[in-house]
Amino acid sequence: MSTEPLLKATGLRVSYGSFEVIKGVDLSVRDGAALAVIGPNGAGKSTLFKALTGEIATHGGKVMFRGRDVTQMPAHLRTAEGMGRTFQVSRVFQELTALSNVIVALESRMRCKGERRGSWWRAAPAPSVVGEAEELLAQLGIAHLRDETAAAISHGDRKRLELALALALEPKILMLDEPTAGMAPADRMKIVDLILAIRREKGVAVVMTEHDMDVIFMISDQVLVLNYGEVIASGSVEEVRSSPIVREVYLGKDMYHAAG
Amino acid sequence: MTSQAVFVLFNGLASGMAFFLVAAGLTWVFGILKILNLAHGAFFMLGAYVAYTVGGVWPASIWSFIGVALVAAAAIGALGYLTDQLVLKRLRNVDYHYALIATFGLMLFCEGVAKSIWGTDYFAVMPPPEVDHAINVGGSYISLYTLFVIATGIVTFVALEVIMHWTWAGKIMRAVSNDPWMAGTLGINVTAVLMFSVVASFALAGFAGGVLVPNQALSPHVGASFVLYAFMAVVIGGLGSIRGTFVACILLGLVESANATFMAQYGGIAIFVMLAIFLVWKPNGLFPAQGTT
Amino acid sequence: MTQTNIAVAAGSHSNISAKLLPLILIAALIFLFLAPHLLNPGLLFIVGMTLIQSIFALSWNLLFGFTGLASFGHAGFYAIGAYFTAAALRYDFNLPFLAVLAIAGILGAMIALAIGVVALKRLTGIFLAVLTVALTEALAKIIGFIPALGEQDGLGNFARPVMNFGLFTLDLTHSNDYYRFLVIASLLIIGALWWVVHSPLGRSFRAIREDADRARFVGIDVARYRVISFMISGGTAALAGALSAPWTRIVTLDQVNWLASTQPILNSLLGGFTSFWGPIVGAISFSTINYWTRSFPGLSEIMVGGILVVVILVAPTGILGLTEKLYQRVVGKRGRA
Repeated sequence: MSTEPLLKATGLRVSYGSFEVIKGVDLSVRDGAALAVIGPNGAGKSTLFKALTGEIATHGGKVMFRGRDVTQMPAHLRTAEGMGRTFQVSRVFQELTALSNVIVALESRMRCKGERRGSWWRAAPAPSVVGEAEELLAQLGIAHLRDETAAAISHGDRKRLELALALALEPKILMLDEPTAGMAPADRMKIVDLILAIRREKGVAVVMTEHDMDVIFMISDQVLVLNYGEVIASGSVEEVRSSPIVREVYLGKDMYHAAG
Repeated sequence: MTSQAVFVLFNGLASGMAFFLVAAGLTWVFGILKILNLAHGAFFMLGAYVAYTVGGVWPASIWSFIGVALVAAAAIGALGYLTDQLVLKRLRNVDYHYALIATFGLMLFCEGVAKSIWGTDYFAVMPPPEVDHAINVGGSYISLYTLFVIATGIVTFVALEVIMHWTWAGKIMRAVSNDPWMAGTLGINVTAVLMFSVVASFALAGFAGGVLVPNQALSPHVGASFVLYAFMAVVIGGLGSIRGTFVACILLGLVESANATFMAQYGGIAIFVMLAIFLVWKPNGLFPAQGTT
Repeated sequence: MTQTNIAVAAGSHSNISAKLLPLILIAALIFLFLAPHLLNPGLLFIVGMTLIQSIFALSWNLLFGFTGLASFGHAGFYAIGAYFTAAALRYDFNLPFLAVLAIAGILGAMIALAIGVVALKRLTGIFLAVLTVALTEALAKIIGFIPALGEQDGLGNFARPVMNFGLFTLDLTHSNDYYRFLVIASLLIIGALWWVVHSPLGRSFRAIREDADRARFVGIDVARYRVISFMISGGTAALAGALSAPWTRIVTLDQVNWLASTQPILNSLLGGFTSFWGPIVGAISFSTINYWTRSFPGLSEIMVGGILVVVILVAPTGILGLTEKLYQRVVGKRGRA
């Protein structure tokens, strides 16, 4: 078991033009752990996410993943390394069916890992790939949607489909950008259960941005609080919750007077 | 400066101004509608044909020449209105690929219309008598018509700059181009502004056609070559930026002129090399702007 | 027209074509093989050109309908293939004809690679459009500089090839014989393209088209696959041009003008760019229309340009898209595999 954290960022800086948005952020996530990144709107949570996953370039600092320096690595290679990603507004391949969506992701994984299934002259997806895709859909509770066009399925189910896409790449860490955004409380709980189940069964680490404190309490071990691009607090959930600095930043927002 | 250099300089500036007269409308429409109207050059060509039809081969005087160009402007402006209502309006909110393809088809359509009305023969129109002789500048003979074109281009640029930055009309247009939704909530009649801009830019293309027709052998393909240079200028200068287009046009004009003078057997190729260099070096253009400047 | 997504169905046939497709294909094959006996040479020529235009349109649509990139200068690749083949036949390059075709295709692919590596990494749709138009114009100029390629008069005066396989020869000099070769070659190329589109590679292309960022985040190297798609597209377009040279027996700069570049766009849009077979349907439809309105100056451009505009405004998914919608309205089903 290595003591090296799975994901480690040091001194991360991101600027939009001359305006510095992320001002030297450090974070680290161990294997299988769960980190929540919170902060008021405009704190830079999305930008931090984009920098960690390779969607935008950094202007300083380093990102280490699984012991390798991935700071210069483009997004698709980081994904191949094991970084899964979901978006705040779920992005899936709209006009493909749910099954085809997952098949594309699986075939991409196989390509990245140099696996080969089925005969080379075959155009249609190999039966074992189709099987694995169906299984993945079933694990996420959307097997019945396999032949539905992704654009036509409901918001909540599309989130599940997106998770299926991310999981198809057998990630070591899942970067979830506001996984419960825009969902009714009941659906929210379902997603939480899903994420917990994924953590349990696949041992993936999770980094997520969230606004809902209940969700955070239920899922994460560690919390990172951002404000104006800087880390103002980090530690366990309890530590952060009782931190006076955090209270000051969030003072007056009912949402953060969570139960317990 | 050697006389050849003088020739290249003036010729280049005239070419550049000619490109600018066509490109200005193109970049303006892009800034406002966010559509690259591939058919813009076709309207320029139709303007040239209208001028030829109305004014004939021998313009009586420079004033009748300009007058004919204004008639062409009006005709093409009206045509632009029609095109906007029938085609361009419906392309505003669709994927830009559709808009590109549709305007490409439109350009071809206009080329066909010109061919059927006027045939494929080449026509020539003479410059008006006042400018139809050359003067000696720095050892080289420069046609007064060349100077006329340069002057027209500069005047047009200055006029556009003044309108855009010094008048309330320009402010409104820039507001609409930057954020149409916001402009709408401020009470600006966005539809009217868009329509006016489209018609004005087409009129400018028509005017360019009328003014530039003595410069070349008139044929349906004339619009095609000009519009290509206009695209290139717009892309190099930065989509939506009139200033960028102006600078890019001058550069392109000078390159083209130098190419024609010093490497005549390989005429017309240097300009593409320049495009390639710019696209690699500065893919967003010299003046990447959001909206018109 | 409201905001529409460029819609593609993944690796599927619509419900109609799944049933009718085999029948239509067999009927088409029978017709193609019997054509020399059924049609006069003029009509046979048109059938041959339609086959060539179909391949050309398919090559364009691989890029547009299946990878999301619009090329407005595809005639450039076609011309490269056509001129190379014409030159090879005219100036006796002493190569087997199949080698000539292969080289033409590879030339197209290599040039596409060069353009793709430089351009596709940074250019959005508009820039790519302008670049492809400009490059085709540049190519036309370059061809104009080379006297051996005939300049304005075009390159002609060459015979159709005789293919020597050692044990036997295939004399394609007569048009009926070359026609049969053309049919077989076309079927092979179309089959290969079908395979590409329905293979994992094709599925990656479609993912890129649907959502390039999402594709990145499932591990697809978007830039690389765009270039690959461009290469296949360019190579195939060059092959179409190469096959056309012995058929028309003259290659002119008309093959590099804007009308020529618009043709595959029109065929794909008219037939329906969301389906693999759309470009072929479009090529056939347009040939038919063209035949009935044999041109006088300007009519071709008016028709091609006009139909293209109308299709975009009224029925962007083309003939096949319309029939699909009608079918679903009538049958009331939904869902595609």
